[in-house]
Amino acid sequence: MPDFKTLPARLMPIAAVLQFELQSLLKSWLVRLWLIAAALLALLTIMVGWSVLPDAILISVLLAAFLVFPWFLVIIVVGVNASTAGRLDAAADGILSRPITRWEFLTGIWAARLLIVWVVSLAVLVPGVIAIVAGDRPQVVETQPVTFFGLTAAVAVVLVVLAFLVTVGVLLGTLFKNAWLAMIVLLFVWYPINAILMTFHLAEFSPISLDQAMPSILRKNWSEAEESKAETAGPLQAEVQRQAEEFIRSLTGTARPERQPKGPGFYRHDDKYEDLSVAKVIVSYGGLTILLWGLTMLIFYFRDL
Amino acid sequence: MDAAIRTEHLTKVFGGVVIAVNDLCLTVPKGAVFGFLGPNGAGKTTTLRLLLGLHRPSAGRAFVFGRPCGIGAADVRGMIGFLPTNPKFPPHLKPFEYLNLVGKLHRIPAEIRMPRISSLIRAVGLLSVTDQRIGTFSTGETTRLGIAASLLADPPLLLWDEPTAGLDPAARRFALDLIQELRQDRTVVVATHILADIDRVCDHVGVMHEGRMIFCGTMQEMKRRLRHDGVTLELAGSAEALRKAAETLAERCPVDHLWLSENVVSVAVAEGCRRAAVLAEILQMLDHAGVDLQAIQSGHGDTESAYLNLLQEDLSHGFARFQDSPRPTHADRGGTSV
Repeated sequence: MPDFKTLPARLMPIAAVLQFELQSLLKSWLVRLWLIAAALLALLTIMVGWSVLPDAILISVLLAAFLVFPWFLVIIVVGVNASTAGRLDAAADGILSRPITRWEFLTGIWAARLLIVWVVSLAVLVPGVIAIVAGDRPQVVETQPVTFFGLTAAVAVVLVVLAFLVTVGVLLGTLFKNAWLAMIVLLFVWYPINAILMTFHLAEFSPISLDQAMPSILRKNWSEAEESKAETAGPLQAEVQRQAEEFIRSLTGTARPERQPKGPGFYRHDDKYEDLSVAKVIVSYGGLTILLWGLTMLIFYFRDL
Repeated sequence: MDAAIRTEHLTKVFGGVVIAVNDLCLTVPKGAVFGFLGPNGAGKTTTLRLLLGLHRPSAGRAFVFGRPCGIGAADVRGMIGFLPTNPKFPPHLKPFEYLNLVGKLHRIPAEIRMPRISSLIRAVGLLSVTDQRIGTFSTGETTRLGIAASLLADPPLLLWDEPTAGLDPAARRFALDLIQELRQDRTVVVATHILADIDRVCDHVGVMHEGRMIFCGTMQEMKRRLRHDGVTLELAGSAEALRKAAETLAERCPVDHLWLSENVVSVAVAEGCRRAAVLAEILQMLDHAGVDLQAIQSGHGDTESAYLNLLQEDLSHGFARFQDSPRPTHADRGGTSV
């Protein structure tokens, strides 16, 4: 009889599935190719913007590849593959017929996918960010430097959004059982997401808006006093930021947002999400992730294997 | 009698369309080697998967050693060693890695797990392929690995789904010999449609047909059913002559059932008739019909005949099979009992 009493014994199946999934993912061509391609794209981005863009803008361009395009697609594919029918056939024979609950199994495979996505993203972003911040770039006019708090907050936002994307992938894979069908449904939902969020006055939460807000987040200071001092940005910085946003839009194929009549918006100030609350973004994306995770678990629990 | 497995009106309908298991009431005694017999699509595998909690029952309940089965019943799965049909194991893992994973799923501590895996790999004859990935394994090697995985936690109940499917004679003998060995201290359920396997290792048998259990009892009971009324005649002659002979026999002789398959006529002698007299009459008619008798076989001891007889009987019952199904009581419908 299995030992269910001690905590290490209780966690042993989750840890086993996590380790097994990590091994499988590290050996998969999808992850290997993604890592190489992400590193190459990051290198190219840094090289192109090295002598042109300020730190905050260049870093936000780096992050855009993960938040907006193209890596969000790969991240969702990594999630979708977790629980499609073909994969679960093997899992049912080899794993789920053993004394492991579905909750433990799904937690293990989800955590493994999340870890892989985070590790690959950080493996590309951290060296890139260090090179940008620490690199000697005399040509670039730096009106407002990137702060340590800003960097930490931006990375936290990216990690939470990546967790959300992985969870969306796992949910779609579980719901549709077929990876291709899940991806098609996702594309139909994802591309108009900005319009949908705008309808509900939640445009601040779209990944595109988040990316547009990244330069502001990166320059944020911890204390309110420092923040208000730093907020006095010059016209040159505003122009550079506008050009960088154009660059991101042309890279991602996103349309220029329609100019809204000025008013006391919740976050919005002159079409820029400068006052975006990092805490609110993290809480809302985190909350959504937990909600989707619960839904995935519910669907998986009622599924015949 | 203590039951290793007990099901009560277990039913599984997939998607509200496909009836895989229909009102299955089954009891497998502790310590038995139970042959789960039935043609392809009879519902054997679905029943095993219901016991493992891989499927959710549409109705009814199942118990293993008195504990209820279900999707969340990890403790029940801990008591079961499952070998699936044509197992699909993670292809990129090596045998030791896979067994190590299974051991962890069973929460076996490393100090017990490691030596046990090594012994099992040796015992199932996979020592020469430990450095190969499972994806490169032959059917026989994959089955051996599945057997090792099912025995790793030393479970009191083994559910082996077609353990000899696709195996060469040596591997088949290995699997059957192993069942003989394991029966000492375990309950073993072997689902198969290979009658020779059942004949060799099982002491109890359950026959499933179209999702229903049409017979459940000891091997002796199953064979006894045929001993009373079954005779198989192997004939030689034209197809037309054979068909006519079969028709004549059905019309004139006191037989309950008669069916013709190629050149073999199986006859179930009517109850109360003397077998010798009926047989003499049948032989005389065949002689008159110009059909040559090549072989004659009594049903006694022939599992295949008993099995086919059961299937034929089940089919011939037609709508009567519905009469055997459970009826909702007044209380079930929400009424009050008096």
